[in-house]
Amino acid sequence: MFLSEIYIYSEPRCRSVDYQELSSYVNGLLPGTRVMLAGPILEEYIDGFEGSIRDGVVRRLAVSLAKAKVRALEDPVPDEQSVLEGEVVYERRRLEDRKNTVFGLIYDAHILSAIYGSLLSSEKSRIEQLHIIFTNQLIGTRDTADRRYHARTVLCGSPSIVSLSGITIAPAKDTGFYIARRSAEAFGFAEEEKMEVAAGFAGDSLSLDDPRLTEVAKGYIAQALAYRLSGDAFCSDPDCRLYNAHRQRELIRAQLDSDSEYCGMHEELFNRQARTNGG
Amino acid sequence: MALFHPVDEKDVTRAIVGSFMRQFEEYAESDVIIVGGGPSGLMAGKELASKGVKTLIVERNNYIGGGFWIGGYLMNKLTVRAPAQKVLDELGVPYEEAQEGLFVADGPHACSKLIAAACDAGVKFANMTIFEDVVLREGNRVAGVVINWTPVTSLPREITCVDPVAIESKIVIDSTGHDACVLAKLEQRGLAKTVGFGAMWVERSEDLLVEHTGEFMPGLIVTGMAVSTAYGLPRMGPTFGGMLLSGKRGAEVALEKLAEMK
Repeated sequence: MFLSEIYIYSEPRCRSVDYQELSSYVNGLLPGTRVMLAGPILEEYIDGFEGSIRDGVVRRLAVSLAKAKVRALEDPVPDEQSVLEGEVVYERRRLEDRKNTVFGLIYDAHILSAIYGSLLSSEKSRIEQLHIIFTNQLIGTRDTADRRYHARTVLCGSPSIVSLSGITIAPAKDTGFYIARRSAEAFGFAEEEKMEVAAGFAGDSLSLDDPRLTEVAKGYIAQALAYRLSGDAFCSDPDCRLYNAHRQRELIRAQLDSDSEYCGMHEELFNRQARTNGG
Repeated sequence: MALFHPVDEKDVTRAIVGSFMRQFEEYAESDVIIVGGGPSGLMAGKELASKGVKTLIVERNNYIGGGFWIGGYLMNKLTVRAPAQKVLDELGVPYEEAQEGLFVADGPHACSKLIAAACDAGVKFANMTIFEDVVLREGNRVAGVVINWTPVTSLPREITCVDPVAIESKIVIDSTGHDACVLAKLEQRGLAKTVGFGAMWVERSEDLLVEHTGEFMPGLIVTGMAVSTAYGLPRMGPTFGGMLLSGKRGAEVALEKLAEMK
């Protein structure tokens, strides 16, 4: 499938990711494809308006985001979820305050992707383009097997979303972490104390200020690319960057510790695309 | 020679009744009524009263302070995360830094200082007083609360036919913790809808709680753990820093709303 332009949208609230390096990486992976770096998609969109029109745009966007919030893991987000004014106020504040790093709510990834997609102009909605949007918000998709929402690292689609907080949270830490945390909870420890107790059992895992996040993010961009090129984002090889890691240990193996970046099949997938684009 | 000045029993009774009634009459109309005297309610009250806002805290227990006296597992040590230690500095509460950004203080010291600071600022209390209902005005604006003596709820119904009374205010703050009593009453009447406890990452709940603190509906502000009930934030997680900063945020919102009313 022809892919000529890739847009990567940064998330300024997470400073440990080097987007220039990500751009260079994609250029190296798919030579001949134009890679464009863009600012945060929501903020750049609202900055395109002024005065009362801008107020209206922010309000509508805040309502849309509040409607995308997952309220109960067991229940799908309804098409027209009613929202509380306080939820809208919260979303507005987050949109307006670029230094606000608060996260923790889970948003339905498909609804969020549709919101992002609606902000793209017609010139940026062409079939040969791919938009990859980084966010520090948690995204979730509903698993058809257990009918619950699960936090995700990436949603591959048009546009694709990479959740930086999801990378640190969605793949599970070592089991001992959760046992220690539950034990501390049973003793009524405060949150900080629980985390302190459990931290020693977490194994190697990523945090939002982890300098390795840029390297890891390359793999999630690659998953979005693979999905676009082949319809399948993931690989069963635990040493391939396209491996769908469910544990931090697996993530670190696939993205950081593996000797080769991609398995033979997926290396050929990217090479083939590079040849198509004359790279 | 007797140490204390001679006073009759009736004089003591008159002093109690007179002082209580004067205050009760005066605070039958307040600027702000805070329901719940835990850390967020006390913090909101202290901030408001220090700005000259006539503030009454309604507390169902005899003691003020809610859960602020003790930490987890009945251990009387409290933890707050930065930047909430600045509140402890303001209150003059000593603390230790357990690790970077995490501070530990004595529960009794912190709680009594917060209560004293609220009193010093001018907050008045109606303790042993239970919230029963809201006073509503045009457009379903919350304009006061209906209250009764707490012991009335503990007695057999046939001997407790005690009607409540209503007191009014420009703003009501629900600081009743997870129960979110004021919100629950409004929901029971079909006038409000809360989300309940929801799907979030627990470890981030303290930030979210402060971020969601604010006006829930006209005349009603929500602070502390009642915020988590209102917006579906996690039950577990927030420590006292979140309560204190939520109270501060609630007071800021109340001041804005009071200014708009002028």
